Amino acid sequence: MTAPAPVSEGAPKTLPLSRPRSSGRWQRLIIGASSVLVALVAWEFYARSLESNLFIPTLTSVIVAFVDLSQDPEFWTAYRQTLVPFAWGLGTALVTGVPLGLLMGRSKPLTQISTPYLAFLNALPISTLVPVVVITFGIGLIARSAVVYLFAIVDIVLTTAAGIRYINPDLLEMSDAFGANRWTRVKRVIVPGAMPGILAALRIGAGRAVVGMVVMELLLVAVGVGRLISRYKDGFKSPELYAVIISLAAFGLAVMAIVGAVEKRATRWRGE
Amino acid sequence: MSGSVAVFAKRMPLGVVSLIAFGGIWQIAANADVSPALPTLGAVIASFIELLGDARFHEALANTVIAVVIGLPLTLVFGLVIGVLMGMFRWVEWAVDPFLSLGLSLPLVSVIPLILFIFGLGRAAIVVVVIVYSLPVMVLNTFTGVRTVDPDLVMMSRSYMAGRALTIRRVVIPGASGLVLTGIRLAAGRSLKAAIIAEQIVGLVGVGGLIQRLGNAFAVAELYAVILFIGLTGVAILALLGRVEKAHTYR
Amino acid sequence: MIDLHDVGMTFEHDGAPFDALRDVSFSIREGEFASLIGPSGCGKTTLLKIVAGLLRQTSGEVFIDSSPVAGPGNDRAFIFQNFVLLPWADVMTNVSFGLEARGVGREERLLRAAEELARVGLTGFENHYPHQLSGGMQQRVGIARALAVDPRILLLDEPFGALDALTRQLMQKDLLALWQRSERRTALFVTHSMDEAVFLSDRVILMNTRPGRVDSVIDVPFGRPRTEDVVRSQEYREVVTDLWSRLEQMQRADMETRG
Repeated sequence: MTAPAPVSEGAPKTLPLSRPRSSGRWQRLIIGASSVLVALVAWEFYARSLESNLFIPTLTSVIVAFVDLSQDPEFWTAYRQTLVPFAWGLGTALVTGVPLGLLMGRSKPLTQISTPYLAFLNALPISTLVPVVVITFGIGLIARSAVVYLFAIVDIVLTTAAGIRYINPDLLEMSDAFGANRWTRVKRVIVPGAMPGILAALRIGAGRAVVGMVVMELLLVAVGVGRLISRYKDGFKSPELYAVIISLAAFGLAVMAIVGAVEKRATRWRGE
Repeated sequence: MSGSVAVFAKRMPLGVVSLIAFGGIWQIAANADVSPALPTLGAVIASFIELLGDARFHEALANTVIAVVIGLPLTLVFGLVIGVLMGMFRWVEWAVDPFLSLGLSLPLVSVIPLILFIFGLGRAAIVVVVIVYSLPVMVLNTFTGVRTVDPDLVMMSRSYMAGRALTIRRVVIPGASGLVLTGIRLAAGRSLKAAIIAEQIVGLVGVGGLIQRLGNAFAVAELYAVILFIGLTGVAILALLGRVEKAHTYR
Repeated sequence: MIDLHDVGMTFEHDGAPFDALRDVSFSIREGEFASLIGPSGCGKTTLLKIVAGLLRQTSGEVFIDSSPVAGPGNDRAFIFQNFVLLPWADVMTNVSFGLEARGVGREERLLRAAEELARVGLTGFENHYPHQLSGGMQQRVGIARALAVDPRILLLDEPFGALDALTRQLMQKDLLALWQRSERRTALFVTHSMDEAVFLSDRVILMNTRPGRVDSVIDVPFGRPRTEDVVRSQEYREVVTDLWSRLEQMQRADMETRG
């Protein structure tokens, strides 16, 4: 139906068929916010009803622990230590993965050559490679960055390669007609045309890198946030444990939000 | 399965060539003792064959599979119900949406220590991880499937005064089934990964636990063999599910 | 039997109200075959859906046998332009859908559905799927589905609009024969085609556009039972030509006011 949404519709509906009007936007916000609120309140009441808050602390105690942690320099040091391999791993994954993806997208033989490995790494839980990394590189910065790298690289390559399809072939023909050399062609047509795919790869790669970072922290415990987690876990300090984990989740969300915003900004020319 | 290997070989001859080349390079590097982390191809293959008959491996595999077999159906049922309700009632969508978005954008790995903390280190915890990992994607796909059912079909159903139950049975569920299958495929993939990584963090049971123990013992050839097994199984399962999805069109 | 009093329908489009229908009034007698015809945007499909109970009018009243219309009902069946068959169900299931919705038992459903299939000439196709059938056959399934619930009123929304010209002609003849042979239910038929409207109907309601309203109602001067020869008569050509020129005037006036 292409008719505009009717002002009144008395007959009962089984599925909503119309777009929500602007009043719907408020309703959506209110209902969403209230359901989160209900969940949080339910948590608080449930926790209070328990005899022991050892495993499920109250929301209030977690909030307090969160505030305390944010003032604890050790907390920030731990994060700094964790972020270094994150940045290295993601950075190298982008720097190696995007060009590889671009090459793959433009070259059928290369795609064929790399498909078995990519398919295998795609189906494999990358966490299973962590012991191999440890045996090869130990547990220092290189090993940690390698874990993040491995988590991010496959999706970066695949997403970039898929994004190549959006390059307008007419533009390529045009640049050939004007006698552009290969470098100019890459710079002016291919890279900008592949940009949406590259930015998507950045977004997805960042997400995977965050996952890799957390896995790294959990499996290679010695330093950083992982150490905090195991300390609080072994010490049964549950509000602090919850707070650290929530901070990890929040970090992941923040990374995705930032990268998502970058992606939106950079693809403005597409007019969407 | 051998059929699709043959198809692969035909469609991607270079792929086959590159695998052979890869094997060759590996062998050379392994023989040159490049790193303790690089066993010879022969050692890996021998371990692989041994693995298939190893009782310990079977036990570990069974543990992992059981966790998935318990968790995945629960995910499918809950995901289906929540997704259908979300698709049919806007207010349900609005209420569940914040949690769904959270479940899709959070690094779910970070929740694993919490789940292990609350539920202990046993099977229950692993099952919970499996469900938490695979539920969001199942809900999302079911919800989208229901939402994108042809509105004309719903209108037709209404015009014949079909009750809600009949409309769900004859119109909504078949109409959404394409995306629901996609959701099942994604949920299945994620549930396997979830079980394995949870087991790795626990370090004791299942295939994940086996990997950690092999790693700690520096048993590289066995380690590679297990990784090879998991990867190949994963590829096979994904291919199978993908084929089921493709076969499911009637136009 | 169907009475419309000052029916109006206002939609909201990007914040501004827009009158799809205004002050539409007419009556359809029981057993009458009436066509709604007019330029694009005159609201004829909207009007049909209001009578069907699928849309609720914003002003005015619609009565069927003196009861106000409050939603879809057992007395009406709708036939869609795009057939709208369940693509994943076979012909038999599709035809019996309306009966299933009314809680009719399985055996009886299959029996009645088989009867209707025979009536539209599709016996033997019970286990086929819609994608295996031509457009004309799919619409016959749609017609069978509608007839299976034994409605007092048939509502047809450009049922042959999605078919090629030849199939269209054949289906028109088939519909005419079908309708005349059965108990001559009341029918409200929306179409773009003047020829079709005059060929099939007892009365043609000509609508104008922006806002949608009734322009005139023309009685078709041919008796029943009607045959296809009617199309070749002089009188037929005159009626159709008259309608065309009225339509053209409307369209031109509309184009001029829109500038």
